[in-house]
Amino acid sequence: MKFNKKSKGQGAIADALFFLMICAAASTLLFHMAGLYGSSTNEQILSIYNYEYAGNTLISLHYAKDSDGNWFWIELKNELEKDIDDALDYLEDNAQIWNKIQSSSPTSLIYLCFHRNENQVGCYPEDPSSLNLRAYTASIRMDEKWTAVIKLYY
Amino acid sequence: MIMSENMKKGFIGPIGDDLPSIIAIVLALAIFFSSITFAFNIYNQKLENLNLLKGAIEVSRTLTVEGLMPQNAADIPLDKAKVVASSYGLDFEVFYDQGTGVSCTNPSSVVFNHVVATWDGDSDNIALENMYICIWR
Repeated sequence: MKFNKKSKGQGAIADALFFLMICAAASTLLFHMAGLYGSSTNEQILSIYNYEYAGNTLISLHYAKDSDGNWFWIELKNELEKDIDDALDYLEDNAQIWNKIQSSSPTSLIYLCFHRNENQVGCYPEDPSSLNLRAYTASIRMDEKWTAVIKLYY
Repeated sequence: MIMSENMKKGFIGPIGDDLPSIIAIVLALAIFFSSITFAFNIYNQKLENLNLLKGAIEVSRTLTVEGLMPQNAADIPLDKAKVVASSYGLDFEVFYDQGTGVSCTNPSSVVFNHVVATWDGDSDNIALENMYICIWR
């Protein structure tokens, strides 16, 4: 059988198909990167909002007045000097203040916690810290012993 | 019968032989360039959204820095926030929650809310209010 040196194979089609495969892979990568772009920055900006919400809540509590017309923050400090349970009872008696904060919170899981010498001793309402939730916090030192912390959980 | 050199079986022509590969190459290039255009559009859209969020955070921070706000939302000082908003090319509005939920003028607004203490000038009359800030481009 005589071999025809001028016969052409289908090499061009194979090359074209390889090129098509490479372009398809590159396009897939582009779509993936376009989808991922900005997601972590978006998350960081929303984190900033949560931290600022917690901070503004503490500031507003400084200006709040309780049902007797007394400054809420000063009365809370006085109750804390007696006992943590007295402070939690005081918060329960003035639940309208906390209800206002909770109703406007971006998350329903918002808590006011008290730390004594770096240890958490109580929260209002009861803190679900046993659950594995992401927390955003803002804190303020009330006196030498006590620190108040606002926690938002997601 | 003597066949001419050019009349070989299955031989269409110089371009005809390459036609199947040309179709595949053109298809590949079309897919690639259209995906580049699509990705670029997505990138621009996301960049715009990020700038909106960033500006909205700055405006929200400027408005809430005072801590104590007037009880009438119309009396809230907006000068500093307007400067910040215009630097990002944004517009905004501020109102207190009236119990009817959020109702922004622009439906595509970003909404941030904060609890603020409001005061009518009498130290006995301080109330906590939920302040909504609607920011849009």
